[in-house]
Amino acid sequence: MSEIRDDIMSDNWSTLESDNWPETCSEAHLNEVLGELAAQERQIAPPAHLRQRVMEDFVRSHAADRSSKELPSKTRRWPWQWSWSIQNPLLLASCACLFVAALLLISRDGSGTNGADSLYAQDSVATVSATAGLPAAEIGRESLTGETAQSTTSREQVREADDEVYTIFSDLADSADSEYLILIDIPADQLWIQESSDDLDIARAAAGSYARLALGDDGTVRAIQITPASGPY
Amino acid sequence: MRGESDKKPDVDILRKAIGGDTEAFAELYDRWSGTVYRFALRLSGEQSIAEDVTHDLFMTLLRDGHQYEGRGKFSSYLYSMARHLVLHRLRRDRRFSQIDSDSEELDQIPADSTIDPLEGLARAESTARVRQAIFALPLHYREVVLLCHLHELSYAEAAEVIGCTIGTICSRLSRARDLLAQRLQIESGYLADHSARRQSEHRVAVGAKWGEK
Repeated sequence: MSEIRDDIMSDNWSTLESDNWPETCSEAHLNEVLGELAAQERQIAPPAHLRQRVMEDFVRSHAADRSSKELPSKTRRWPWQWSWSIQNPLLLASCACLFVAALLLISRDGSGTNGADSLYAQDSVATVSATAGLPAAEIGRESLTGETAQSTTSREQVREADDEVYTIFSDLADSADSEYLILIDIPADQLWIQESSDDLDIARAAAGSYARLALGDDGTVRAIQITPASGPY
Repeated sequence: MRGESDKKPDVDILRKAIGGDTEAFAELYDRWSGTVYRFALRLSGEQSIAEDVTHDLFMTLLRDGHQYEGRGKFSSYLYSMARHLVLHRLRRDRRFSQIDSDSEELDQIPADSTIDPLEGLARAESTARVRQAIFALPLHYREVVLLCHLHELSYAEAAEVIGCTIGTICSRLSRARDLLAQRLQIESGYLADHSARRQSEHRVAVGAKWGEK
């Protein structure tokens, strides 16, 4: 006791406080405040609207459960267990698929296997557009033959305009007179050039992309612009 | 979180609730919703998460409650489920927001009329600091403090809830208490002198009252 008093009277007081007392004091007080906090915490109750929400969902879920149990077993059969009547959705869907497949086959046979032919088989892709203020013009089918286009594009240079759009110019593109420039929209997956020209990078254009051909007055291809499907076409 | 022996066993009520007994479900909710809500509130620090977790837990009980066979304590089963739901939600939301000391959770605590208002204020302040310090702990320490101190689970029960050994609980709790004490001491020397400060504040306030008279 006298030692403590001596410490208090001397400068050792601070040492005594920081080394010994605060730790035991902290433990005791920590327990005390944690006890107080626990007592306070027990008084916290969930909000009343939460009880209402839970009870409503309980009632709803049991009502749904009951109704599903009360369903006659006949209505809960698997599709292959359904009767093969005209009301059977599986049967109807199968018929529809067969019909669509038959239509596709017929249309393919009618257009032939040549890419250039298929280019003109569809009215939508053969439509001549008047983009960039150019006058609309009709192109005869004979003016865009596979031979002329192939011979022109064999000297293509590939230039990447940006990440989205790949622009392919022929040697004649720079000198092409705009009054002869006619734009035709062609789906890239139907473009025969991408198969016949090895040095072109059109393969990067995914199916569904569109190509625009710039034609000269002699019907040769002067420029091809490929716009991917996701691009700003 | 202590079960009372005079009450019906939780597992019986649960069976009835799963069977569609509304009264049984209401009893189950009234018995355990507070515990679940408080635990979720302090573990997540978000009132909206606590509400959602409490709701989801009772809905999950209806769906999967038949898996509980009454072997472990029902409270541990609920704590474990609540913990899982909170962690899942926190991971999903990726937010560990701080508890605001002025948040409305504090307002939910009803005032004790037997306590002097000034003393009550000082107590509220001190417990709010401790609450904040607990929430500032890393999650794996925080949950141990919540379970063992605020919800008064035994080490064995806490180990069952978290799914670790009792030794892990002890070491985590020890480390968490150290961190807690450090944090509180660093903040304002709070633990060392908070009692003295409370008393002096009280004396000053009483003196001011007398001075006014």
